[in-house]
Amino acid sequence: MEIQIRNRPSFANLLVRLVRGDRIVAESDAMASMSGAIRVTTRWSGGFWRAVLRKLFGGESLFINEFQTETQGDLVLTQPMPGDIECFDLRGGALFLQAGAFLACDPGIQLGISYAGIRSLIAREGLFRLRVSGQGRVWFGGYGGIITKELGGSEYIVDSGHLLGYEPTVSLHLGLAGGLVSSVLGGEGIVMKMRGPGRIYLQSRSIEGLAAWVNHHL
Amino acid sequence: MERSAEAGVRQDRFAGGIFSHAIEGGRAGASIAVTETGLVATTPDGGEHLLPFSDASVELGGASGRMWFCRTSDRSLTIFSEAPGFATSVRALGGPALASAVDSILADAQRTRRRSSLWIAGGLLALSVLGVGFVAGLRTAAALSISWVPRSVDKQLGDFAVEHMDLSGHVTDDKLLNGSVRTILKRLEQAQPSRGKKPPFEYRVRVVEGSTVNAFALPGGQIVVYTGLLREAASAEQVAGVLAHEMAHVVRRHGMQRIVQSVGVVAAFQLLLGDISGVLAIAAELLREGAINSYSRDHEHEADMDAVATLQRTHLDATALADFFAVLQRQHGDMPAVFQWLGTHPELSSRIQAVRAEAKRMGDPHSTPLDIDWAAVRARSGFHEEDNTSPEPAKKPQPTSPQAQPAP
Repeated sequence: MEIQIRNRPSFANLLVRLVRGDRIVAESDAMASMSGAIRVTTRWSGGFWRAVLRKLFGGESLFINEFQTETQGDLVLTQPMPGDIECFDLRGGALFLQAGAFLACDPGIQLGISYAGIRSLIAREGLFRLRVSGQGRVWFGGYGGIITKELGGSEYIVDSGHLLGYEPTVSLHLGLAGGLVSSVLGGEGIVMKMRGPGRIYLQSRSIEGLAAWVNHHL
Repeated sequence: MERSAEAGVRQDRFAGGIFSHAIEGGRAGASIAVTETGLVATTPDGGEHLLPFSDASVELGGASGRMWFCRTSDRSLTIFSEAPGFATSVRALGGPALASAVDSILADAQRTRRRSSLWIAGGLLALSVLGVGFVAGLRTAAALSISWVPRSVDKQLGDFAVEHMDLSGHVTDDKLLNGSVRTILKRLEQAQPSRGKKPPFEYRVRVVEGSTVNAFALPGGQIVVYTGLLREAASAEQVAGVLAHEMAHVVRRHGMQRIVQSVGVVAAFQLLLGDISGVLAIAAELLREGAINSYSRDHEHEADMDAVATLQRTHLDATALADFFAVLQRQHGDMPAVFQWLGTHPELSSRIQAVRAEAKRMGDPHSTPLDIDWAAVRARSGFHEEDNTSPEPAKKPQPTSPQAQPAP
């Protein structure tokens, strides 16, 4: 199976070339186009209850689609928002994704819901997060460009609405971007202070920021 | 955790992962064996990575805050796991230095948790205090702001609401019932408490056909009495007690305060500024839905005490309200939810005691009964003698003194 991320970074989409025996799992409604030779099977995302939890708390749909073919064909997968798509090879490990970020994965990857804690809620990153784990690759998308940052032992600060995904080894703490006054007046407010080891993925734009900007002009 | 002991050598196994420059991508999930010499991480591709305890340091962190990291001094290899028992196993097999480091980290974590718990408890306490203060402040603000709203607004609201609300029955034109209730009202109006130079409220009463034992007053003086209440009351004085209670809600403007609490203090200032259109619509809707007609315990107590004073000033039996409570309590127990008027008036027994105590404190020995044929009123309201399970029969009331009334 050959997979290419095209039209990066603004309108990225996945071009998947499937041959007999290949399979790929994608978020419901992610398919933009495909060859007639490709067959799609819809199923609960990890069983009924997991699917319900994923829908309720992970911002994902109840169902996932699995694509395969008896011959060969092309499949285009895309995300609803304009932005980049990134791939992460789990290699038996795990990755946390923010609600709505998941796009596609290799078959056999487990999709679950994990409690992110009050800190995450206060930082407006949601009380729950999607946990993908297992052996294989996962593709996910964000709004705007995706910034990959490998964290070591030093602290890294991320504003709310920009965190897209992170490895479970990364620790998160709430904090103010600066002093109390500058944080409030500067508009940064509460931020996430993250520390490695591990990788984090950030989206260069924030949907909440866009919504606030549009709302301001209505 | 899996534990094995081959040839007497202990080995514990946990799920976890590894960071290493030696593997593609720099990270992988791994099965970790804790042995007596060090950690051995086996990646899914079968690769084995050894981290000897002699070159290891430990750290606690990760997204969950429960992930243990063991790494070499040059940080080229990090093995991690958050599986339960991993730290215990490292502590047991890693030698005194690592055991001491694990103990120190655990103690720090416990201190942090304790401090966080204290902060959370303190935060919750502060929120509770703020919440209570806000509610109390809102009540005070409502009471204060209402005193500046002209009484004409009460009348506008009450008139609008009573015209548009579903009374669940026809307004009766029965002369006996209307006449009797107006006679009671007329007597009670003689005792309207003077509130400075403000004009008294004009009370307008409607008797509605309906089995529900209910009576309520709307702001401005609109009063609705159901025939079900007339049927249950053993005397005209008891109805006088109920009406005096409802009139107290009007005079003290409890309904208006509830409106302000419901639509906000800002609304009160809008009323004050004369912009009543928006507030009028919301308040009338609230009144129409009956959402405003439940008062706080304090308001009910105030209305009870005012009712006693009104009855006493108009030479009516000052315990009549308590008697009405007692009749219903005897007939229907202390679960009066079926009676709407009592459904919003909890703790009946204590209120009976409070009313009797207040009547006794006022100590008026004389009362002049109302000149109403109450048996005829009850009969017209649907009362049948055989229905009367009350030990207190319908009667033409006689002059009574509060002290002469038996306690329920």
